[in-house]
Amino acid sequence: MASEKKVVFLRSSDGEAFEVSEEVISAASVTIKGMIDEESPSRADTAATTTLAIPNVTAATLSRVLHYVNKHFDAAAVVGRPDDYIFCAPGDEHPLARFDDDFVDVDNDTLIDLVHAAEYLHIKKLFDLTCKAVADKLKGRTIDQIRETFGIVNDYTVEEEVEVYRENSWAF
Amino acid sequence: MDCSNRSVAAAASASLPDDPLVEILSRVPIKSLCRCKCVSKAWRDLITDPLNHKKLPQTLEGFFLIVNSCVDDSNSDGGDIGSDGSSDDSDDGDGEDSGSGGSGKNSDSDNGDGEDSNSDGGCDDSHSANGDGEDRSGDGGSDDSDSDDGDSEDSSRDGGDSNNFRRQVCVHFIDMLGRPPRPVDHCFPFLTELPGIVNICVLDDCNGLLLFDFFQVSGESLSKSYIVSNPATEQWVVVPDPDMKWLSLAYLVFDPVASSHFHLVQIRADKIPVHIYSSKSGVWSPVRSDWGELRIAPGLGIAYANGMLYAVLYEGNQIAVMDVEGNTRKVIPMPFQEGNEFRTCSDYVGQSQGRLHLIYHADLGHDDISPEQQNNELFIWVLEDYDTEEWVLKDTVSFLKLFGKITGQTINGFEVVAIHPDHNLVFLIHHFNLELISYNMDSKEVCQLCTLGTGYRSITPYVPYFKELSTLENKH
Repeated sequence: MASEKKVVFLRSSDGEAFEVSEEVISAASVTIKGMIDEESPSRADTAATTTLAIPNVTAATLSRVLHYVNKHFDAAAVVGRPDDYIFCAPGDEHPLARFDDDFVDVDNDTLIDLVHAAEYLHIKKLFDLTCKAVADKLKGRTIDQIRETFGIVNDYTVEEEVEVYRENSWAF
Repeated sequence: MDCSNRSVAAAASASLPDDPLVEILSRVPIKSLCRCKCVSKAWRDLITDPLNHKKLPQTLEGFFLIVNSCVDDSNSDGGDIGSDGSSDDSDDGDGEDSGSGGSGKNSDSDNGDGEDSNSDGGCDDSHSANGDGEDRSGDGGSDDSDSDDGDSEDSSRDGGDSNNFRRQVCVHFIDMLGRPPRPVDHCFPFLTELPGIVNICVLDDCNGLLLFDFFQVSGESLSKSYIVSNPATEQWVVVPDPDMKWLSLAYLVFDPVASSHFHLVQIRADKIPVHIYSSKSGVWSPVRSDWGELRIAPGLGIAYANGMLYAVLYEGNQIAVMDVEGNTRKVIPMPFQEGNEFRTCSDYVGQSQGRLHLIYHADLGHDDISPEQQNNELFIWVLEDYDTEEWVLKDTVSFLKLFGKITGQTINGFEVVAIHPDHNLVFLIHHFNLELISYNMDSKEVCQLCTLGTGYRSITPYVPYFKELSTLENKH
């Protein structure tokens, strides 16, 4: 049936198309696998490649996501190209731990875009990784810094704010 | 899913909807989570929404307190359960009470008991289990307890033995979050659902689950079993004791991050001292420990921290580190302060803020020296680095500061009941007044929290866990 090297194109919200192995992206993204499965009856006998619209993800974010997906889900690439392991430090429990650390070492907006994309595309490993990274950023920050990071307006009245600070004073 | 807050959170946090935000918040430590409540109303509502309790980290809510509400059979259970010194002490207290009031006037002492249980306050709200109540049907104050009692077989066991097992307990909750008192009777359905249970005691707690042990009378036979219970979901399961021959203590290991299964670690006075029960396999297995002649110190406890079990070894001044299968990973020395020559008396091992804490006091080994000559301090150590076995002395505090006075009984007359999982806070009980106190290592403040009363049997710190577990098969 399908040849091993079948590819699909993903078109980002801003119109850029990215090529990715169908096998790899199906293994990574539950959402895209669903899209491909829906498409497949109509294209079973044709050699034409499919283009899938990803309306919620920008090109900048999608290219990062695909970088991650190719590293984590393309077993052949990892095994076949030993240079992938330059990211591994001795003692790393996961061979891609160093890659993951670098991957989420980005600014807040980029990281939050990745959380959204991982959620929309249903890529659990990436969702876990990016949520953890945001959580790590929350840990050491002041309330004002957290508000700034997430673009949140303080909607407490002065009295309410005093009260909520008092209730949680042990955490400061 | 979690839709009740969607609109609220979306209004304040346009960039991040609820579901990912809860996922993110579920990955921060409790301290950061509490700080996040101050960010905005939407965040606070999201964090406090009961729908999100299952996902978000929880902290110490308070303590379950088990008290005897029937002390007719004082002095009878000291060694039955192999429980720790605390319950022995409380039993002694009971003995003195009934002894002083009851010599020659037994009926008065019965009435006195009835008053005691009323004065404990909130017994009506609490759950009670009655082993056998037939003798007490004549006692005016305790008619209500008979309704819980379904075990008429005991009436044929009027001999001395049956007195040992006549015991009614009440469960109270001491709330640390400043919430109004609430009944906890629904949390432990087994107290009324299991027939003929007696001498029930809380042995341990771990990440939201509690471990009880109890005896069950059936005809002429008496069996001992354990119950693992989740008060938040009201689920529970009975695990039979594999071998009642040996005096034993048991500990509970439950780490929801690692597995939805729990383990019980039983320490016996046996050639094979460690037996481990896995809820996955449903069987007890003996564990060949390889720490030689050293034995796990009874009553000093086993702590579960960072995926490992830490057991204080008797007389070895060492701590054995095991995995949950019971394989010894290593034996690490207990910490000592330079220049101190005393023998350490371990009071507590436990986990706080992700690190193992060890609390001990000095034992100079002479009974005849005066209290002033003792080293009257409590030492609180932290295992800062597991790999390099680096201990750091976090704090020392004097008994005078903690208890307000030092007597000959102070040295061994107290109990460290818990260390706060997220604060630098230690909870202790001194047996002379049965007062629960907290000591804050940062502010050096000592707070009197409450008096436990003469029926005090056991006290257990409680951090709730809200997910239902298939391993706890019974549900009210």
